[in-house]
Amino acid sequence: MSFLLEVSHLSKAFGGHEVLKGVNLRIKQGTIHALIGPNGAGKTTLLNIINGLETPNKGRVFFKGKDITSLAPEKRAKLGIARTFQLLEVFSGLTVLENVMISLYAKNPWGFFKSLFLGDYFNPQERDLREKALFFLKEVNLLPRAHEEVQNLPAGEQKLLEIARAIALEPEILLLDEPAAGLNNRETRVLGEILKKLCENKKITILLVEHDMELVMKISQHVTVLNFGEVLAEGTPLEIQKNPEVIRAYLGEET
Amino acid sequence: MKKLFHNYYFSTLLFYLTILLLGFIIKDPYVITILIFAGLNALSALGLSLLMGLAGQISLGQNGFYGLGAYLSAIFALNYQIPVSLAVLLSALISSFLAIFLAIPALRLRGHYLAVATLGFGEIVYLLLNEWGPGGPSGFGNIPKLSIGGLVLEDPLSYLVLTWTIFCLFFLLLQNLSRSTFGKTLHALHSSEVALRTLGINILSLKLKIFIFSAFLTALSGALYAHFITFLSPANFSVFYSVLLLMMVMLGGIHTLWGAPLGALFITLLPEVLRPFKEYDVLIYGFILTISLIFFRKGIFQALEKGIKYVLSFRS
Repeated sequence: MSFLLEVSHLSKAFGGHEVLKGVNLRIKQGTIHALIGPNGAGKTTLLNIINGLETPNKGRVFFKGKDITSLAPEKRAKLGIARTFQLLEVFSGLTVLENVMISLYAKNPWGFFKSLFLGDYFNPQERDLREKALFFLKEVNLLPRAHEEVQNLPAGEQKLLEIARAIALEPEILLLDEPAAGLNNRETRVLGEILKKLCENKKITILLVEHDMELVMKISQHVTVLNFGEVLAEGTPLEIQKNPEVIRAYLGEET
Repeated sequence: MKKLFHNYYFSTLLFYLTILLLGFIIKDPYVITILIFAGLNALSALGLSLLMGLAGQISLGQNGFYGLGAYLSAIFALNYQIPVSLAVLLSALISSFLAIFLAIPALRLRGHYLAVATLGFGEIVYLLLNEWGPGGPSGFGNIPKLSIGGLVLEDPLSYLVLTWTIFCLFFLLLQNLSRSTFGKTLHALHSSEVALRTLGINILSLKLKIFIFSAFLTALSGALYAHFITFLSPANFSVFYSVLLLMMVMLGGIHTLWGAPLGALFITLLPEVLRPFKEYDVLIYGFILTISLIFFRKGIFQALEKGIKYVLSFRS
């Protein structure tokens, strides 16, 4: 069994503060892999390193067996790594539909001069893009919001939009940074179903950073626990729930 | 078809015809000259509006491109006997090519830093024109007039038509651009460069294209200026010109490309309207600018739009 994504001996320090200390992580193709841990454990930094926004001090990142440690994020996106953000990074001032269209355009851009001379009305590719974008909005149940400006949406829906934007790239792996933060119970359930569907129907591997344990335990096949920049435990959701070290990290030591 | 009628092709055509009609009715060569300057400024401001309003990148070095366009075109036509229309095109192309060398280092900067870097470029061009330009600080004349297919554009009216035709053509093209997904991607630069990168967009190349095109428009405007006025001196190409363009774009409305022509008309015509006030004109000019920036915070375009909607609401 080969791994889709492999991270080995990853270390990262900001100033004197060590955020990651020799982290190893392997993600199997076609699974939902959760990455959990208390605040400040280094989860977001790990995601940033995987998709190239940060460079590690030590260690390597392999994607489909290829070393991508020093590749720029835009190149990694082309290889099939997409992500969403913990703090929203939507394109405000544009509609929900346009946000997804930008992502589709990024995948197959046409020339500057074509846009200059044809605009949107006379360019058949724009129409294709629009239809495709609507399709991806449907995947995350955002179709009714298509023509609203993104900044007017509640945070939960903006998160869904980020997911739509990411899957529009048709990635092999999707990195999700706390997608359920700010969602209520019902919305979280819907999100869980969406993610499961993406993994099963579209064969997208998902690396899920999340605090909502119910969601994590329900949809993921594999869980890695990160604590103070080190891997504390690894295993199936059930194993993790029973692991005494994990319980200690989350609830504190009994005295 | 109805949709087409209501859209920007129609409004641009209407605007174009209004300006030309104004020129043909008034016929006074002085007024026409002012309208030509307004058209040239509008073309320059369009470049800046594209850069600032659409892509969110500030430039205070547009005077450099304006100067390069003007001087190169004049020198090509005067010293190398290149046909003027060719010289205009050539100088605009060369200037936009030179823009690449400024853009690659400068576009890695953002906000104020980008403003300062481009300011430096404009200042360098200004100094070079002073030192190396024909005639030095006092400038040079006898620049040939523009001719198209053997027809020399002596008459200001014909130059008015030319200037505003060129402007409106590029105006239409840029409105095309801003409505395309490419334009939306530029707009997305405002809110999140990080997200664009994670989608696989090469931000530097995106900014570079816009910067080059903006330089092209401003240099083209400079070249057209040179062959209209037939005399050039560095004084017209100081940083003050960039500030003037900035004012046009801000006052006209930064969130719409319409800001460029409206702001250019306003800023170019205002001093002429204030002529009768003699020595107080600069005072009143400054006063009006301040007042308009306070009251039309979002630009003349939005104020007009609101006004029209207000009037229409009365009728219904």
